[in-house]
Amino acid sequence: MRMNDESPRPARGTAIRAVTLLLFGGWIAFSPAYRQVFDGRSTWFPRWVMFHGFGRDVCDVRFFEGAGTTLTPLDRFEVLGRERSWSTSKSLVRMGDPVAVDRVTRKICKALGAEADVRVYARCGSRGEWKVKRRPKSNACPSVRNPSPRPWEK
Amino acid sequence: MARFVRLVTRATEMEGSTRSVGLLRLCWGLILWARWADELLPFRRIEFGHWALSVCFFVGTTGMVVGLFSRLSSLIAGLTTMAMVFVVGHKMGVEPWTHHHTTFLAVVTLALAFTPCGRSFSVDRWMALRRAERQGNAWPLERGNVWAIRLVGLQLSAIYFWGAVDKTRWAYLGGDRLEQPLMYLYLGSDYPGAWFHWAAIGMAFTTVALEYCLAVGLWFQRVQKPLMVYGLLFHAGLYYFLPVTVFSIASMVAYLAYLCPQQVHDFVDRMVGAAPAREE
Repeated sequence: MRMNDESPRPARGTAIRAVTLLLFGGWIAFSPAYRQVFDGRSTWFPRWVMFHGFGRDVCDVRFFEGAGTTLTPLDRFEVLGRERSWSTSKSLVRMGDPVAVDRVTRKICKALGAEADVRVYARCGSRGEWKVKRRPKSNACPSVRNPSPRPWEK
Repeated sequence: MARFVRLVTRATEMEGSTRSVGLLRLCWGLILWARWADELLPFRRIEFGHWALSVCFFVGTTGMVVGLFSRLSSLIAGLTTMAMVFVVGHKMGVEPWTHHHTTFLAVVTLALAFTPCGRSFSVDRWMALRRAERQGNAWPLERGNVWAIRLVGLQLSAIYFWGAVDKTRWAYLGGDRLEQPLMYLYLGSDYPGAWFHWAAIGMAFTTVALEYCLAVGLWFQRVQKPLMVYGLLFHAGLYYFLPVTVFSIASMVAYLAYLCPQQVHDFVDRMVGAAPAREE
């Protein structure tokens, strides 16, 4: 069987197609500007902001030993005696917010004992740049109040 | 004004092979199933509204995959998925249905309804051949006005362009918004070092430049092929390293919209061992 060779039929519905192209095509091509450029709120217009908020629940955290004149890096896994594993120590591998950072800090302080001087630098993710949440200016461990019942006797 | 009207009219006339739109229809139906079929099974929610969506979705997408009443099926699937994204998703608060890949799927599905997508790779085609044979006529040609395939390309170009516009800001180009998801997924709270920052900046600039190039360049045959290779690698990388789900495969399939329909037709002919039917 052979293909026929008849010429294509004359175009029909050109006006409908033209209106469809202008409306649908215009909406596809230009409507994202409404929300992305002009900060419009209507959700009838799409916006293409892929991964705008994904993956921001993470902090870049560095612990230091603050005793002495210089800050010495502290390995939180070593101090806490835990292995660096996503499956067994996920909350230690990835701290998602300042609260999680403080939680790990308290554990480190406890592990190092009452005299510990632990400094923390932490910056956490956002929809934009990293936001610094903790600076190593002072000891992050709770201060030891009245270490001796009679300090004046020292 | 007359020139504009002429331009628009010309844009709606694109007589060509229907194999591109046939392939797109078939693949798109499968991608729609991959994204939504499980969620729309009737027992997932015992509610009338859910069942109505479920019936419309499966009727439309099944018609798309097998190519039965293809345009009508695409229209049903298109309107259903548009309603799922813009009404159920945005207005009724089903957030996972409002993501970029779901919007992309819905828009392209609706655009396919404006194409003669049933004239190739479909039950519609098989029935048309049978009808012609019964009547002693020649087989109908796999040809039609495929102008609306441009809407598919336009949609993917819009995604590239507006995605690049969104990334053209310091938080992204400075590397921060790439470091964060990579640390979130792979590195945890341990920043690997200064090299990581420079790598993130490099990746950010490369991504934005590539997206701008793809948005425009895929329309031009001279640079189309190399850009497609970069685009395919880009999407494969995104799929492998980030949780983008069906967005990558959908984008890759949508590249059919940029290719000359006759080239796709001839390619299929070559692949099945048939001599390409040349236009007079």
